[in-house]
Amino acid sequence: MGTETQHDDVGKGVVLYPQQERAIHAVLEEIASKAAASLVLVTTHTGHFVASNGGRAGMDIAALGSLIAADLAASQQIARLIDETEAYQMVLREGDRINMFVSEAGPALVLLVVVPSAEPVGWVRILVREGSHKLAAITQAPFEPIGEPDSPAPQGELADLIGNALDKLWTG
Amino acid sequence: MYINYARREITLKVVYYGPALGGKTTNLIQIHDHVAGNQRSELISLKTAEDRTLFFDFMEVKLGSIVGLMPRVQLYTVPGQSRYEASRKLVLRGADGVVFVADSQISRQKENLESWISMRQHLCGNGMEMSCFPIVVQLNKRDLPAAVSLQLFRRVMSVNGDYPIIEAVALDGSGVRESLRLILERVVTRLRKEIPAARP
Repeated sequence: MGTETQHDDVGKGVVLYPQQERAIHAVLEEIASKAAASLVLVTTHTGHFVASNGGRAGMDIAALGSLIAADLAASQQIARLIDETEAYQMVLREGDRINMFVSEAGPALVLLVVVPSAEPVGWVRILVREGSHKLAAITQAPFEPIGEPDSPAPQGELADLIGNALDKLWTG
Repeated sequence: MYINYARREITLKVVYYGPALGGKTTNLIQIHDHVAGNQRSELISLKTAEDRTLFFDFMEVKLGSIVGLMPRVQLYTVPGQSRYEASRKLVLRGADGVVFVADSQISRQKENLESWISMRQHLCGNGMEMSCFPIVVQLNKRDLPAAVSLQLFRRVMSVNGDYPIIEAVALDGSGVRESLRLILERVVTRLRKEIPAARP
């Protein structure tokens, strides 16, 4: 996975290869199973949805991804303003029915875990922390792009095609 | 940018930046209104009680299948009010391109310039080379009787030919699609080496 190396950089993307995606799904499945989570979701630090396990049908995962990433980013910024040395890792939101954990998973990803409030917070926190470390390791491991084409897309053409697609989507 | 090779998805991030009350949120509302519901997400707005943007507005547009690729565009606005500088910097994180929404009112040229400078500072501070970062300037509210001339706007902002200017009236949708189209073309052209090969 090519990843952002700093949180503040702009214009550097995250690239996910198939074997990494499979490994991420396995981690999410493990967390969901052990924590009895109703939803486990991963986004990039900039809010791009990556993968999920659980959740309800029709859930707007694009919007959810942007909000999760923003939530963690805002919490990290708050922590930095209070204490510059604080490396903020996890946000816990306790509710009547559900608890939500939002955790940094390395420099590229953010993990959300939603569990029933009856689940022991300490146990889930351990699982979230372990899962975050595993996700970070997946993204930081040197993966070779297997079977990917060598040449890039015909860009002049692609830019036009994307512009034309937008025109077609536009109604009214 | 986020690329998922398995699903052949490319997700791009475009940020609408600019001074307060310039029309950034109006741009997203227009895009939301003109794109069919199955091709976009809901419009998420984190607002104050006074209906002003607190953190950001967000929506995603799915462009469908294009030569075997599934491009998506995530659109964000920043809060324009000066007190939200830290939030603006956070929203700019990971941006692939910016639509700078400027206000045509003569009395707002100082705010345009301040916002332009702060945007450049954030981008430069984050290691972005301004000469190649895709920016489209949208000069909004062109229907106002005392709108600034294009020539004066360029001079005040020191915006030369490197940055295209699109005249708009976002409230009635004029110039909104054109701005989005142009920034997407520029972003895709800039990121050409990283986008996977197309499949017919």
